Amino acid sequence: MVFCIVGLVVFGILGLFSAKYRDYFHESFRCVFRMAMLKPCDTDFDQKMKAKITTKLMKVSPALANFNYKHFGKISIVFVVMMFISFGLFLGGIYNYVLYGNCNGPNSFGFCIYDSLEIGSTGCDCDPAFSSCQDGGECLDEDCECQDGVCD
Amino acid sequence: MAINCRKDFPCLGKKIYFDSSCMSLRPRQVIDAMNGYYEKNPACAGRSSHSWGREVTKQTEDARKTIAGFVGAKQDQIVFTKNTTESLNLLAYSLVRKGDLVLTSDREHNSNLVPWLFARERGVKHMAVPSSKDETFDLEKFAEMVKGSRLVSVVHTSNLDGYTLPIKEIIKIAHEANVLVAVDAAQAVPHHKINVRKLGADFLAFSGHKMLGPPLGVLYGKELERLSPFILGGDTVKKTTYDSYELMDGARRLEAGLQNYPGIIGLAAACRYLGKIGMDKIEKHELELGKQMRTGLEQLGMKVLGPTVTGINSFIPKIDVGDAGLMLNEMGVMVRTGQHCCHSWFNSRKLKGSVRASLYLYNTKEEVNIFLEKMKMIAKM
Repeated sequence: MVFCIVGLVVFGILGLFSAKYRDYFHESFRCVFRMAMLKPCDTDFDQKMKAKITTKLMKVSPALANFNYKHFGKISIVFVVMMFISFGLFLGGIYNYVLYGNCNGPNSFGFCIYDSLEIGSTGCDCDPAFSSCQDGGECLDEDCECQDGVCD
Repeated sequence: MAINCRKDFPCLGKKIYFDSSCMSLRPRQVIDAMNGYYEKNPACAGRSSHSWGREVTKQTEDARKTIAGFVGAKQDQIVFTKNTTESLNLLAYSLVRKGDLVLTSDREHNSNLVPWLFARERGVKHMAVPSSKDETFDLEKFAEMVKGSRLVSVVHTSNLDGYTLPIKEIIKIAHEANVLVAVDAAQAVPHHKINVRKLGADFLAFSGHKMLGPPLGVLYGKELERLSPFILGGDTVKKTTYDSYELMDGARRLEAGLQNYPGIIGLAAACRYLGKIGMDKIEKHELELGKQMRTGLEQLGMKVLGPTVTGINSFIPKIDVGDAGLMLNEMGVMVRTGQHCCHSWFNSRKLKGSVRASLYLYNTKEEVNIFLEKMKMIAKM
């Protein structure tokens, strides 16, 4: 039953690109909806996915397939928890971006992951013209931190 | 003994179909015969005097003759129903009254158990003859129990494991006790040569969809006139007024309303197809494959149900049967899982169910080998 939560997201995205995943999306949606209504799931979505994954793993490693088969329930719970955690981190990242902009500071348009790193640099090439420091009171130092003092 | 017929089955491809006990595949000849009805003369039989109506009437009467002949019956000794289930229900409705005792075996499909259990509500008694310890039919026990009963209704060949009951002996013992015998031959007629007159059963039911035909039931009766119809309407009456009706004579009054004409025509085509190959050849082919499969499964440590080698192998893997079926499907092998509508048998033995691989004339040794390879992988779970 737990795996349908993962299935809902995964097949919801895959179903946008390929019709063959839409049936799985509908099945997992039905399962999740029923769980939300505190009713038991009336599809065998979890069982089907367990069989699918197990048979695919059989071609690679019978031991791995056996492990998956025996512990599918626990593996599903791990995947669901990881999914929620990564979703939480994703939302946190969106929040930080809205609040603070990228690491070049607000109103900057660079994406510092792609910026080249010079030796000795802090890795964040901040442009004082776009700093968030108060005018006349603070300026950016090498570490892109706002400091009291008169800027050059 | 291979049967070269696969090219006749358009749906046969990469996937392996081992569920013929539920529904068999249809050859092109049957599909074309049914399409012929729809394409050339899709009219009513036995009513309209126009050319299409007359053509359909002729085709369905010829089909009736062919189907009756396939089981060694006369034309007026068979009627068409929806399926074996409906045929058996008709018998349960018509043949027994309050206080009558009906005997069945203990390995009946629900369709030959539930109607008799339901009949208890109107005072009909039912008992199941327990099998011997080796799961064969206990003739001695049966001989004790049959005295005083009105009807024996037993399966010929079990859909559970393909075991064939000693039907001739059962009929002999029952008739000596002046008891009627009805036979559920849904799994028998498709796989064995059945002659109802030599068999001696009073009634026999089978289904077209298990013998390369469309979904259609056939009920044979030595004296079908003794049955009362439970569906009435057109074609069951000679005459009606607002206050009265006069039923048709003979068996035709049991066929109410318009019939499944393409089904009847298609089933006749299936009978011709099977007859051309030969039922003995088909039976031998299935037994060969069944033995190959059973030996392979037992070598993998699977418990195979049933006391004899047959074309139906029901087995219990170490993992959940539903999971085994799903995995086999992912690997391209289609089987049935569960209790196969024989809940009573499984429940009495406290078994959850089994995987059932049922063979037919279009299956091959190579398919059985592939299936056993897949089962070898599943056996490691």
